[in-house]
Amino acid sequence: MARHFSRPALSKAGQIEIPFHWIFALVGGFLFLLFFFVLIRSVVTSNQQRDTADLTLSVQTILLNALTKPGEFTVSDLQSASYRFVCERDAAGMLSYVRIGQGSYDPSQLRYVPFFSPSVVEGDQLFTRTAVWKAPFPVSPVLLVSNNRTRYVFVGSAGSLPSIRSFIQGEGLDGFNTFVASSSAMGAVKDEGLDQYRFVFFGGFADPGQAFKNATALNVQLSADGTSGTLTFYDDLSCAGSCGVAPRAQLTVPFVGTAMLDAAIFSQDSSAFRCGFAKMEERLNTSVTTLLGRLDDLSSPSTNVPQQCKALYGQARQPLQDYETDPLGAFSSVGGNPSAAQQIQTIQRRLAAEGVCPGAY
Amino acid sequence: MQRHASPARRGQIQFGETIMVVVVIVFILIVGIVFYFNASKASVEKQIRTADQAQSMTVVNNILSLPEIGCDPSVTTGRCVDLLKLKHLAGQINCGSSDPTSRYYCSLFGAGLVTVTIVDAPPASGPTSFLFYNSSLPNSTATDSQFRFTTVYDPVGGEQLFAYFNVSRYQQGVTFG
Repeated sequence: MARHFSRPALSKAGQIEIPFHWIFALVGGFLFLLFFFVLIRSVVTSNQQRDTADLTLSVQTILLNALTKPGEFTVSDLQSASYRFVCERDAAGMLSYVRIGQGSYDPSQLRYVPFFSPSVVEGDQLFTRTAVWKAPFPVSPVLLVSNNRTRYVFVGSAGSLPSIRSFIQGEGLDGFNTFVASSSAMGAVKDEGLDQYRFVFFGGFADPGQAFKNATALNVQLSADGTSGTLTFYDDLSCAGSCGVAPRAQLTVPFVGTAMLDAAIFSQDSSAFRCGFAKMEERLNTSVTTLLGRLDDLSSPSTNVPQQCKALYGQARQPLQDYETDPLGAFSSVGGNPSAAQQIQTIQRRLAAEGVCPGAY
Repeated sequence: MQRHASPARRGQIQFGETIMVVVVIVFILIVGIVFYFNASKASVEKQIRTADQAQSMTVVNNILSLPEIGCDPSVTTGRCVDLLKLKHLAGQINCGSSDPTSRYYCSLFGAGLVTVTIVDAPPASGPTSFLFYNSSLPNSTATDSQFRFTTVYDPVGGEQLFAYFNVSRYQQGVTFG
């Protein structure tokens, strides 16, 4: 059978007619489409990655800026997204970072910052406030993060409500979504469809009596001066009031300084608190080393500081060394002896009474 | 006399033309892509530079607001930096080390160089300028110095001293005019 080849034909003098092959058009068209498909896809992907990176940078900047403004409550508007705050242990210690949606995360700057927040914050706003942890000397900033979709329900006896309100105001927590309820009127607290509820009981835990979305609780036993006490974490209230099983306490720890209490209130749960507090302890060690070096300088014979001050600086070293050996133990008095924290306050008062002595801490 | 190409030669011409068309189009696309990415790179470099300048100021603000180097509350209740605490904290930061103190500050401040200069230091108080922080990157240069004037409290002399922080950021393999 004769085979027919399509080949250029001569129509007019000097003109070559090239036969049109559909297969070339199809292959060429397919390659064009494939190329543009790949190009557009890579541009869209890189734009999404850039948006996520920009947003991550924005959140990091907001949080780091908040660190520079202790005591200031800030509301930051952001692109609506799901912000996941993570604190976990890795080979180098405790690691914190923020992750937006399913995007990648950058742990470089927030890694060791002690910040406390719900694990997920949804929406287009971030509320931040930085407290300063004092032991009793200033140790570390404590960054508190939340938004208006997380409600903090403070519960106490009817007589304690004024002092709870003044605590909220004094700590600058009134900008957050807070609600104060008497323990005898817990029924007034309703699930309003927010993302999560954090119950903070002063003086005694009580079952909320109904299930709240993502509810957790903290029970606070305050000491007489209101700056120390005991914290008990209840990490799961999912079946409160319905299972017939009382919520179980996960962790009980002492606390010193209201910033540590704030940290516990804003922690998602006991493990998040432990993770963040491990960083606060590291900062405590740094502060102690700094203060010991400073005391050496102030006590140095070459320093023009009155002799009676130098004698007190010598006494000021011991309580600081107690912090180095047992950071949390330094807050508790044993056998009627004053704790390291109490000794520090005493020495500070004596230095102030001298009238000419620079403070020891 | 008009020459006629043989069938094999005519086939080569057809195929060659198609390849040429594809090559030209691909060439144009490559030129476009190279142009696009160069433009993007320039834009990213500009953004990096702007971010670095902002970052330098954030670093100084971070340093000035560190509670661990704040003054004794009896001195002032406002923002105040204790010179001795500042020096002793500086002595603990070594970004080549992995101790918790260094890790924290080196992570917080990033790659940069911070020096503190006391402008009106008393003659007996030692060096008037000291390195507070240095975290460099391999093959990098310190760029874009930013200055921030402030006061620091000298507890020995019991006075506020005029000082400035000089912050430079390290840039890896990027040099700005």
